[in-house]
Amino acid sequence: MRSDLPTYFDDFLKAIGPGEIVDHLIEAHTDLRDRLNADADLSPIVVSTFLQGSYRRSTLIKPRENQPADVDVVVVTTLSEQDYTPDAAMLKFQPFLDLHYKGKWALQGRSIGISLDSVDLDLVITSAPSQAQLETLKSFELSEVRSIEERRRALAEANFGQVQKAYLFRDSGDNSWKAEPLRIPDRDARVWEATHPLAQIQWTWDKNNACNGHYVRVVRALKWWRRTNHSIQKYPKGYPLEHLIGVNCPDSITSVAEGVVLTLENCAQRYASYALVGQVPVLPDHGVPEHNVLHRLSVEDFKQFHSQVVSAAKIAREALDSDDMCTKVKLWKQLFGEEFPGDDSCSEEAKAKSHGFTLRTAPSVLPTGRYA
Amino acid sequence: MTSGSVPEPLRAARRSLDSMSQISVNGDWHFHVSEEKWVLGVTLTHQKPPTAQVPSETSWRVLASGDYPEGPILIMPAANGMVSTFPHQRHNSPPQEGKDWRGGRLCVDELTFALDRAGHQPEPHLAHERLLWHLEQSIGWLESAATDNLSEPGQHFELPDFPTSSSEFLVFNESQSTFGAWVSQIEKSGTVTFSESTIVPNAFIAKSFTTRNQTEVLNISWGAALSAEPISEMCGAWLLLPSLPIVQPWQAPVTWGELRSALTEVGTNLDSLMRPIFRALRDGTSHILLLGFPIPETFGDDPVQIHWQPLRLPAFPHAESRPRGFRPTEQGHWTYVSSRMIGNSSRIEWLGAQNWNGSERDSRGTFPREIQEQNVLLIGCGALGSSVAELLVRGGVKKLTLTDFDVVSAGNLSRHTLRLSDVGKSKSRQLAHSLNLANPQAQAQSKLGRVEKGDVTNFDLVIDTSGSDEVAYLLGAVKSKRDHRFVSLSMGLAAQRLFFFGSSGSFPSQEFIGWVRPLADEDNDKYRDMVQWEGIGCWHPVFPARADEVALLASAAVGRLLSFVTESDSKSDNAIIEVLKTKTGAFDGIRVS
Repeated sequence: MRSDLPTYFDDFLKAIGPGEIVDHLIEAHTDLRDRLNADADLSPIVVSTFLQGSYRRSTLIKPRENQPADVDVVVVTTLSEQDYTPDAAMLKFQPFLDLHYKGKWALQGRSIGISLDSVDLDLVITSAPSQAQLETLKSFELSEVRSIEERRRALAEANFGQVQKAYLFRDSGDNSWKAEPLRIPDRDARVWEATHPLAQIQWTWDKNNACNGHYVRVVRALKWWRRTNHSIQKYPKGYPLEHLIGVNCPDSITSVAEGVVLTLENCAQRYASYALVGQVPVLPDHGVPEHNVLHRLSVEDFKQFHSQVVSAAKIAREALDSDDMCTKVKLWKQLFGEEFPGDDSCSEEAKAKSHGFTLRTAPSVLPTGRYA
Repeated sequence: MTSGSVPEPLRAARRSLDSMSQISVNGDWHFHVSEEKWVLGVTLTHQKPPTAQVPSETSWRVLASGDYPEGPILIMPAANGMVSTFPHQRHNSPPQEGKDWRGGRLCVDELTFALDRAGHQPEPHLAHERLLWHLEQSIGWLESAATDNLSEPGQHFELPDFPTSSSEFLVFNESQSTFGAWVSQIEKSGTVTFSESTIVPNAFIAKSFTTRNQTEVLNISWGAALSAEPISEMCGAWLLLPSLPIVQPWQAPVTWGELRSALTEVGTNLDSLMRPIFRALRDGTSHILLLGFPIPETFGDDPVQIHWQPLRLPAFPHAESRPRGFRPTEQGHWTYVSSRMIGNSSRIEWLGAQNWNGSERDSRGTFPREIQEQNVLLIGCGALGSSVAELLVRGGVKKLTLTDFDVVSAGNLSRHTLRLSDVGKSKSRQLAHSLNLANPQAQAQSKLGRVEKGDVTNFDLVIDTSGSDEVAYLLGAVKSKRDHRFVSLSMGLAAQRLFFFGSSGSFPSQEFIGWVRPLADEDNDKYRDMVQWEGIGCWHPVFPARADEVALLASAAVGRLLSFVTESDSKSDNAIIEVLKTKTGAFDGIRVS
């Protein structure tokens, strides 16, 4: 028996993946980009647009029933911070938005939200990057919409199965982009602040490679766990949750099951003392280290999260270590719900069906021993 | 055996006749060359009041074979003996060339005669007893004939002997349930379609009876094999008579004149009856005419079904033809035909008749009515399945669906009901085909591909002879329905035990597996050494089992199945049926536990 149940997890991940939503995301992004390029006022000031967010990082799970999927788009502009306040920069887009997305858009703290049918676009406008970065950004294949997993797969095919440590971005060798974040508006605080979506994408790419392609799947699985087990969505969720998983998931995992167990166990162990004393850990953002990813997380929520992790870690460990197929499935289903395949009733029938292969210790006799 | 001296056994037989004063021997045995029989003339005397047809003394010829006391013994009226035909007697035709006896052989040794006699002694075999016994029975017959007791009320009804020289015969399907259609029938004549059977040589299978104005009276529903036979272009005609046409006391009409008189006796005019259908018959070809009449089950009872007796008509002249001396109209033709072709002195060419009705009564050794009418699904057409299916269909089950994804191989033949001509073909398809030829009403069909849960709901009775746990689980998943019955049959290794598990409403697969698996394992361990292997490559274990043991277990299983299915209040039934052997391996019985 494969104790990590690879095909079960394959089916599970397929079931919780975004599915057809991806097409809608790509379409929404493509439409936006094309419209921006065609707009007389905006096309001169827009350098490039690119998808960021969980879709890009392959950590997107399917939205809740009847909820739209979120897609984050960064629009890099040439608007200088000297000339434009965050508010003014965003308002520059107003005529465009009224033209194409009338009644569907709204200004938010850091972004513009556009509600389409099955997709919610989150538009982040950046101020002008430096000249150096501008060149780099232009030359990047940033408009390429491939997610991390898609890129990994494509590279693997092109290199006959070998995924090299290929850089996510083809760059000119100059890594200066890494040091320089983009700056996005914070309207509430009325300042421009740093963000580094590219760094996050790059970090995820590297981590995923180090984990043999399983990291992003572990993230999806645990995001799903969070959603299934806790009906009220509290923090941490979204990117902060993903970040937490990222720093607790060990490298070199060989399966999703292993990754889920070790991540939960690490999390449980590492933050035990924090939970005990009532302190939320500080997790520096990968691209902008001054930012604490968990700054929105309250102590109460953190403590609750930690105790959930502790329980889940026990169940996951038992599921991984058990020798009985039926028990394993039952436990994984406890964590992940009905989307995890298999019959958890542990009927005799299910047991009978899953004998698997046992070593021949005596001459073979026909399996059921009944004849007709 | 040449003529020459009379064999001693025959002499002894003749001497034994002296012991009865009612038997008087005329001369000695003489050998009849063309018949290759020894013939003896006797006179029999009966003690009852004589009648015109049965005088006190009658003259007979006894025919015996040279290896008497083996061989048949025939008692025939002498040429100058009785001329009438009675019940329990063959048609008493006039003597043929070179013979001094008539055709009316007495049926004294036939079972039907025996069953109705009180104080009947079984036929002895010794030389000095056997012939005497036959003649004693003959005297008994004469006494019954004289007192009109041969067809006494309460005795099983038999038709008279319709003499035929043809091997052709009509096959029809009449019973109490079809009788109603005929009783209420106003039109007394019409046409009937047949198939000239390719499966059964010389048989005309009746298909559909319609009246002159195209109203269908009866469409016979045959099983799959006979229904598939094409309808002949030549149609027949039918006439519905009020009763069996008879020349007293029990002779079938031999000429058209006798037929007309017999019908006049019961107030029916044959020509008036035939005239309306004449038009359909005048095409220059010879048609078959069916005379139908109601018959009872026992003498003296009310009739319960129609019997059809066929005859071959001469070819009536075509409408265009002009027979000399008769007007060229339809009426003119009819006069010609009725007076010349089927005139009073013309002989009737009777054909044989057989009623292939699936018996509705249990009396003929068929299964209870309710199981005959059930829609049965049999999963698994292996050795056990094929034997069970064969028994069911021959017992009267008509609607049987078979399913098996396997193909017949020569190795199966050691205990399968199929044959060499089936090797390489689908088991279920070939079995269905074979079973349709085993019962004229059978409508066996095969379902190709795997059986699905949804298929099962349409059946009243599901029999699992697959030996597969997967099938057991599939049955367990079928939604419960009150009238459903499930029966699982499988054997242990070496076919020494059969595991019978029946359930109504739904099939509790867990419970079944829990019960049967340890039993199967026991047999597996016990007979493990008997397994042989064949073939190269993948291991192919050969299931060791003898044909007789499989058949024995199958029969027992069917017996058990019949009681389970017909008892309405039995919810479940499980049993182990076991072949018992002595220490040395001889058959010692069968046990059910």
